[in-house]
Amino acid sequence: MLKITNLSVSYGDIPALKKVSLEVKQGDVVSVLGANGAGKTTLLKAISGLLRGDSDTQIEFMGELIHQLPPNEIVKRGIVHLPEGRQVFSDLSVLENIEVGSYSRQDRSNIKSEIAECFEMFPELVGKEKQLAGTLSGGEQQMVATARALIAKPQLLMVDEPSMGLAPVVVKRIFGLLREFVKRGITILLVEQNAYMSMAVSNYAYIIAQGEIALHGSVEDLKKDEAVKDSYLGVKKKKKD
Amino acid sequence: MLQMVLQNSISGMAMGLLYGVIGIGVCLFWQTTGLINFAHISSAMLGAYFFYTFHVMWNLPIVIAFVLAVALVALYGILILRGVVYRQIMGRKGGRLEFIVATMMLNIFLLNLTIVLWGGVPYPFPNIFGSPMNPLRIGGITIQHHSLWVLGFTVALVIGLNYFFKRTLTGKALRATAQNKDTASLMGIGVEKMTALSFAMSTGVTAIAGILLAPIYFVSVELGGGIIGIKGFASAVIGGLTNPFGALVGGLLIGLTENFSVFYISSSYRDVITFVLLVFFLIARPQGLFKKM
Repeated sequence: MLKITNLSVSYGDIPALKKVSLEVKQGDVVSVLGANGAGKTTLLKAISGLLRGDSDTQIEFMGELIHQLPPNEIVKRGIVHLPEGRQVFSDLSVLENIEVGSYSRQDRSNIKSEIAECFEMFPELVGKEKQLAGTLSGGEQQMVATARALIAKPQLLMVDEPSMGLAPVVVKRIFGLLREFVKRGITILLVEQNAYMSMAVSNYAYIIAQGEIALHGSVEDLKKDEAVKDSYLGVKKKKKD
Repeated sequence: MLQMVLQNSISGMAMGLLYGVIGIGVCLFWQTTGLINFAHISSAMLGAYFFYTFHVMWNLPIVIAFVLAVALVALYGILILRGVVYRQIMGRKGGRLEFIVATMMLNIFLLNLTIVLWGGVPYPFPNIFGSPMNPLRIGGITIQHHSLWVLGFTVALVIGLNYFFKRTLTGKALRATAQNKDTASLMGIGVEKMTALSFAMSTGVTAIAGILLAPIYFVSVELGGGIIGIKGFASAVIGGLTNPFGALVGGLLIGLTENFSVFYISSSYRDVITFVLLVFFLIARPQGLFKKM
């Protein structure tokens, strides 16, 4: 579905990603794990068109090369990016945020009922439709951002650090929803620092370190890998005397 | 006494609303770019000159001349600002200062171009908004027909803009773009298209103000070079720059203060008062009276 070859991105002279190649297959949940500053967010921004790769870069989505397209064209092809830190439009109401999320949709016939479905999915937001999104709690903002992404009818949903700054209960809820989305046929590319949580929902994972893919494989294989256990899952072998 | 207060309020209001409409244009530009267009007031001048050309010189019907003039100035907003000035400067990663200097020069260029094309002599504006010789008289108060037209246009403009920003998807998308361009583009919003739209709206709205100002200032280069632009800018600052309707309140405040200071102090302080208000607000309430829309 999504195929990235030789993606290199740099901020000025500082390289953030070096020749990264990655593939996401239809129906998969693929995690990208790595420490702070490893280049995870850069990767998603390059896919959604907010950042440009160098001339060797190739990004292919459903058989079409998309790495030259502007972000608004990439969304129209079905790649929806739920950005880090939620990025709700804080001076727009909850409802307006979700409506703006539907901007890329060509087929607008069912929008109203789909927005209603969003509120069914997030009952916490009911009654707050007219409230400015900036006045909501972090968890509620994450729900608005998720609803806003969902209304765009993604084929590939890219989620950046959904757990950031949220209470564990809310994090659990969000990851539960990701599972729900998979059932609806949405493919997910997930970027997370919380490796434990994200490996629990995904079936394939890439580990990125200093802008390069250090390791990749199915989640089952990675879970067995000692290095992964040590550095990412926080499972330490207990020493026996 | 009461009569004098009412009389001054009415004439102050009409002027103030016009400053406010210019201020709305300033806000519409600031919203999406975070920049102040120093050639902003040239749109008022161009609007008046275009209208004069179409209606008086070419004898086109008022409505057609009006729509044509406003549309042409809106197009000028897109072409000159986005094509020639804004895109060039942003493409070279220029900053605010470059943009300020470029638009100041653009304003001077347009003033001179106007003098070349239309001559420097002011044209009298036809009495299409009622003749000043036979105003309405209610009690002892005189109300110019022109003031009522200004009020009517402003109300229509406010309703129209409010509908656009609050009810249409494009309006909501424009507000989203104003808040966060990157995230807006992730929603599928074409940021360039939205910038162009706000340029066109900013210059178009100001053109309307220019046409309505012409009966007071004549069709003259004074519309594009004088103090009026600064008053519009001050209205926007007092209103908070991010809220177009705040600009209207700011304009009213300036218009009324101006009129009363002429009445109670002296007419030589008329223009000073704007700066006093502007400085006062910049010190006491730099964020303006109103919050973001």
